[in-house]
Amino acid sequence: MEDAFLITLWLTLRLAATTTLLLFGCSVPLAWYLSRSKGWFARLLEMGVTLPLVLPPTVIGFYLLLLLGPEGFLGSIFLRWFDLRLVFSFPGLLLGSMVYSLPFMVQPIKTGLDKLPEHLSEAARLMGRTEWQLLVQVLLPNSLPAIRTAGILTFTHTLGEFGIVLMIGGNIPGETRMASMAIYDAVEALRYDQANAYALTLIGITIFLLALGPWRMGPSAES
Amino acid sequence: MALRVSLAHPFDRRQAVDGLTATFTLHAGELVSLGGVSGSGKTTLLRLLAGLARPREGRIYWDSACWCDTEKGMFLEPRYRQVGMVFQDLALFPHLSVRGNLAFAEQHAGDAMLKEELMDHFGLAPLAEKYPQQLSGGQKQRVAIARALVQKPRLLLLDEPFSALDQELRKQVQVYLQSYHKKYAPTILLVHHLAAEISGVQRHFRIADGKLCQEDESEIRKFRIEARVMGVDRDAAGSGTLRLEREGKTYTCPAPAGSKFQVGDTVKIDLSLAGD
Repeated sequence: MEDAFLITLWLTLRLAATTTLLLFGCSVPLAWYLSRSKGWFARLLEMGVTLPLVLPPTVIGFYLLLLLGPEGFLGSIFLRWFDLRLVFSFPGLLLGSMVYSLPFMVQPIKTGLDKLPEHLSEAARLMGRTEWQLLVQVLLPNSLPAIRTAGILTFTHTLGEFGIVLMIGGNIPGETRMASMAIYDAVEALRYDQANAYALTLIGITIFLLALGPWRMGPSAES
Repeated sequence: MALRVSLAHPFDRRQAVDGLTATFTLHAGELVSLGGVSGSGKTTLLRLLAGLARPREGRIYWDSACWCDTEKGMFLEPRYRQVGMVFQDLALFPHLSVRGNLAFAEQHAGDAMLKEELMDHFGLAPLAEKYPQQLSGGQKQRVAIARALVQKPRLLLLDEPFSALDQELRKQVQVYLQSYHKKYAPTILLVHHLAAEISGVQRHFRIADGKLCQEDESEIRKFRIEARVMGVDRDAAGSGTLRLEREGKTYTCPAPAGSKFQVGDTVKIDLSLAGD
C-alpha cells in the first residue's frame, strides 16, 4: 500500500476522531443548556447550531476562511498570540470541522436529554445533587444511546467532509489532504483504482461504525 | 419544630381549579394525610413544599429557617431541605440497579445500615441487582418508598405511595412505615385515595375548590364506607375508574395506575372522593 494513501487515511481518521472528541466536550454543556432553556436567546442559539445542517458547506467554508485567515478576527489572534496559521493547516481544518459538525453532535444529545422525564432530575436534586452532579450522575448515563448516536454521526460525517476541507484546508499532502479530496483528485486524474480504494475504505469504516449504532446497545432510559 | 406554610399558587389550564391557596402548620413528627379530587392540586402542593416549584406568593418556614419567602425573594434549593419524596411515577433511576438507587439516596445524609434494613423489610434483597425496567409495578413502588426513607428526611412527602401494591404488601409496608415513623420521627404528608386504610394518621387535610382545609375525624369517618367493586374502567395509561356498589347505590372512584382491583372485591373508600 502506498505511503500517501496511508498518510491521507490516517489524517482523515485523526481529524474525525479529534473533531468528535472536542465536539463532545463542547456539545454536552451546550445541549444541556438548550434542553433546559426556553428563552429567546436559547432559541436563537439553537438556530445558530442548526445552521450548518442547511447551509452549503462552501458558504460556511467561505466565511470561516474570512474569519480564520491571517487578516480575519480569529486568524489574526492565533497568528499574533500563538504564532499559529489557521488556514491551510490541520488546526484550522479542525476548527472548521467542529463548526460544520456541531449540529450532528448537539442535536442527538439534546433530543436524548429532552426525552428524560423531569422527575429524574427532581429526585436527584432532592437527594442533594448539584446541577453538575445531576448531569454527570443521572442525565448523561441515561442518555448513552443518544451520545453514541451523536458520536457516530459526527465521526462519519467528518470522514466524508469535502466543502470545508476544500475551502479551509486546501489540499496539502500530509497536512490537510483528506480522503474526500484524494478521491476527487484521483477521479480528476482518471485514477479510478485509487479513488475506489479510498471510497471502499470509507464505506467499510462507515458501515462498521453504523453497525455499532444504539440499536445494538443496552437498554435505554425509556425501555 | 414545625413547618409553617402560607402560599398561593396559580395552576395551568389542565388543572380542575384555577389555583391553590393553603395556610397550615405541620408539627415535627406528625403524620398527616392529604385528600382531594384529581387535579385539585395535591401533587402541586407537595412539589411546592419540596422546592420543585416556586409559589407565586407566600412563605414556607421550617422553624426559623426560610425555605421560601416570595416577599423577601428567598428560596432554598431542594437539595438543602432534607425532604424525601415518593413521586407518583416513582422516578427511579433507570441506569441504576435497585441497590444502586438506594445507594444514590443513601449518599446524601443517609445511613448504610438503614439501607440494608430497608432492603430486607421491603423484600428487595433478591432484586438488588435488577434494574427498574425489570421490575413489576409493585416492586418499583417498594424501591421508591425505600429510597425516600433511606435519606432519613425531616419531611417525607408520599404521593400515592401504595397504589400499585396488593393488599398484603400494602399492609406490610404500612406497618414498617409506622415503625420507621416512631424511630426517626419525620414529618409525613401522605396523599392517598384510600386514606381511611392508613392507621396512625393524626390529621387530615383536604383540598377543595382550590383551598386547603383540615377535616375533623368525625367528618372523615362519616365519609368512609365499604363498597363492592362492580367494574373497573381503565384508560391507555393504566389509571381509570372503579364502579362501586353499596346498599343498592352506585358510586365511582379513581382507580390508581397499577392497582389490581377485581370485580367482587370489597374496598374501603373515602366517599367525599367518590361521585354518584
